[in-house]
Amino acid sequence: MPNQPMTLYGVPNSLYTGRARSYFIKAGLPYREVSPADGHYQSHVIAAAGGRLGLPTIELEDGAVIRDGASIIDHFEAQSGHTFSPATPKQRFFSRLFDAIGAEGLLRPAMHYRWNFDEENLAYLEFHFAMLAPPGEQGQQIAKAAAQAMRKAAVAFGVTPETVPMVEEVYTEQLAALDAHFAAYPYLLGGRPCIGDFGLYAPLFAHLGRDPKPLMMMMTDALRLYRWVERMGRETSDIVEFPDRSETYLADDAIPETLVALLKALAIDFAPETLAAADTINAWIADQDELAPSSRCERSVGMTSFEVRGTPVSAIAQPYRFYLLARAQAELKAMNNADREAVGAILKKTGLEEALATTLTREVAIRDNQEVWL
Amino acid sequence: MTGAPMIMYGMKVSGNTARARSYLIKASIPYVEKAPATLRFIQEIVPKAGGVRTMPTFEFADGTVIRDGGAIIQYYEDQSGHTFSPKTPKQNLVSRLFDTLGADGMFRPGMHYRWSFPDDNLDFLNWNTFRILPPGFQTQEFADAGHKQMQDAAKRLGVSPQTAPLIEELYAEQLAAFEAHLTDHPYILGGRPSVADFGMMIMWHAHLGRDPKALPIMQKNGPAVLRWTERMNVHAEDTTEYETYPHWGEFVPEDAIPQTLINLMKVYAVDYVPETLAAAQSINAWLADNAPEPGSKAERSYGYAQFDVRGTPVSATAQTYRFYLLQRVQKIYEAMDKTTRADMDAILEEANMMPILTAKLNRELGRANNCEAWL
Repeated sequence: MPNQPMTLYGVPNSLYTGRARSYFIKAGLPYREVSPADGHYQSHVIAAAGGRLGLPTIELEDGAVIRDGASIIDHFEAQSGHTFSPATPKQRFFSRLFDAIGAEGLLRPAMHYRWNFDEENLAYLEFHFAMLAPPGEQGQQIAKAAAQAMRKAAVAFGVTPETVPMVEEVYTEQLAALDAHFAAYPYLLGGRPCIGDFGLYAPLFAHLGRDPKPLMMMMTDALRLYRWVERMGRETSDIVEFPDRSETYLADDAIPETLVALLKALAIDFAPETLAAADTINAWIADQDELAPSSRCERSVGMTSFEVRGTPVSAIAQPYRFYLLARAQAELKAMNNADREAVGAILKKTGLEEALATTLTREVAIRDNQEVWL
Repeated sequence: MTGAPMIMYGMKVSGNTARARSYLIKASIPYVEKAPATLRFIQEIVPKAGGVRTMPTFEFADGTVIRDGGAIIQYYEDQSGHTFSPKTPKQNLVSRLFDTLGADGMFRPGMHYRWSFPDDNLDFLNWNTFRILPPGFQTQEFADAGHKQMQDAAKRLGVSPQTAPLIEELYAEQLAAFEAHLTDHPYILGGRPSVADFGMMIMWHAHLGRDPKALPIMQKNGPAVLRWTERMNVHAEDTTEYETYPHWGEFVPEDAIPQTLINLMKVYAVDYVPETLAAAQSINAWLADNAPEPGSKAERSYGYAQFDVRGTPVSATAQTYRFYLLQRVQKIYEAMDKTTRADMDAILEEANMMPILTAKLNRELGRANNCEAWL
């Protein structure tokens, strides 16, 4: 086995693995991707990953284990001097905001277009889910069970026969807005990917840009978005269709109009879901007799209900969304008044003002590879 | 190499660009990809590329220009001591043979699934076509003319309503055989890529693994092939699904040729062998009549090869490049010792590939001024 400095536990069809993999490729970090079926992963890595089986998890050369796509990117950004974070305040904020919306805000279309189109997708999914478990009958039973669990998770994220027309309508608009932005710019903030690109890549690669059904939609209706997905998987900047663009973020801390339009499309369901989830989680926090600092924060604390364009949606309320949003909010707090006003005007225009003003009454942090309540 | 990275003028839908890009990625060679549409490209680069505007073409910081995906791979392989060529004779021959099959043995499925299905593909291709039209010519009219040219090229390569059933039948068999091989091995010759894999990327990735009509066929019937195209486009080994694979980072041991690869060769032989024999005849007839000056440019094709595949008559341009690549295969064979040659014979016999060892042109091909030339 050739010497590889880092092991990435993941599979090609895993949503969050794509975010870390793309970062490694862009940052030129050597890695070796290994299935979680691996014996060492089962016997050592899970325990070191806070006891949580989660993709991606990485194991560094010195044996250190980091779980969670955002934490993995944080680790290397801190090491490299934040090479994929813009230096200017507004762009820093929007980079973090896109990371949160990308990672958490497109789960319904990602799950719908994966699990509700068996004719197009099922054989392909079975091929890929088989990678999650060791070969042989017993292993393949595990793989089938994993696929079944994910199919059920789609419902937990709010994909039901009643919400499907809304999910498709909203995604169609988001697809058009994404395509319009990437027609004008190679990456979210210009000629170089930022943290927000990696977050957005998670759903738009492994599910929406790779499963047969949604990939065909992207190739047919959003070719420039398709090219961004391709670009995000390349070592080079791959901006062949933008011959005059430099490989830098836009000058003067600019936020282009196409990005504002894209935020507006993403806000259609991200904003109401965020407000409802905050209410649900805050009520849950208030109900706890004891929520000791550093106690474990679960992936969800129950269901939350909200409306998107008149369609009632019921989805799990996820504290993790607020962990990522808090990072954007911290950028907002750190900037000067003039910048904050400029950002505020964009948030207002896009319908995200209230969502960005929303916080949980207890902060979420990651300690020893686990989400915890502070 | 110091200074600015090399520029690759290429295209997303170009097969030979895909072959070179994959090599550059696997070999960690820095490059910048640009569209070949600028006036500068046409005025300054094309003359240095033998006067031919093909993709990919490479420009180095010192002004050197190399044309063609195979040539750039050869350039870096010579420099690096042939890191992507097996050192053992049989695998070396088979890697060169697959380079040839990939580069020259898949025109018909690649062109058929791209150009015979305008409803599925044309919007997707159109966007790309605009990227390569020179300034001032970026109109739908010129794009349409470009597509018409390519549709005509497909016809010349033997794609027609009469041959379509044969092409589809053979492609289904190739896909099944390649899928069976990649189910057991991450790359063509084992646990690392070789020149064979890069040659095979030409059609398997850029056409058959990416165009809207062809991609669903691969998703459905060749998911391991599609994974291989993904794997060939990242620097990492990307072999998650081969957890227990015994030959990590190396070719299959003991110069072995896996049975699955012999089976794949056998499927290729069905049309590659009769086409090669017919093309040799056609080009040799031209050579006899014309006796080109040594060093003169060899055209891309000379006349038509007429041959039969499973009872279907096929007529396709007789292409010189096939023989440029085959020469290398034949030279490797001729340099083998007796025992190795006997082993090789047994494999090529089983694969019905023996005739390619003696299918030769009466003049050797080399390269001069970035083009194939008669020696």
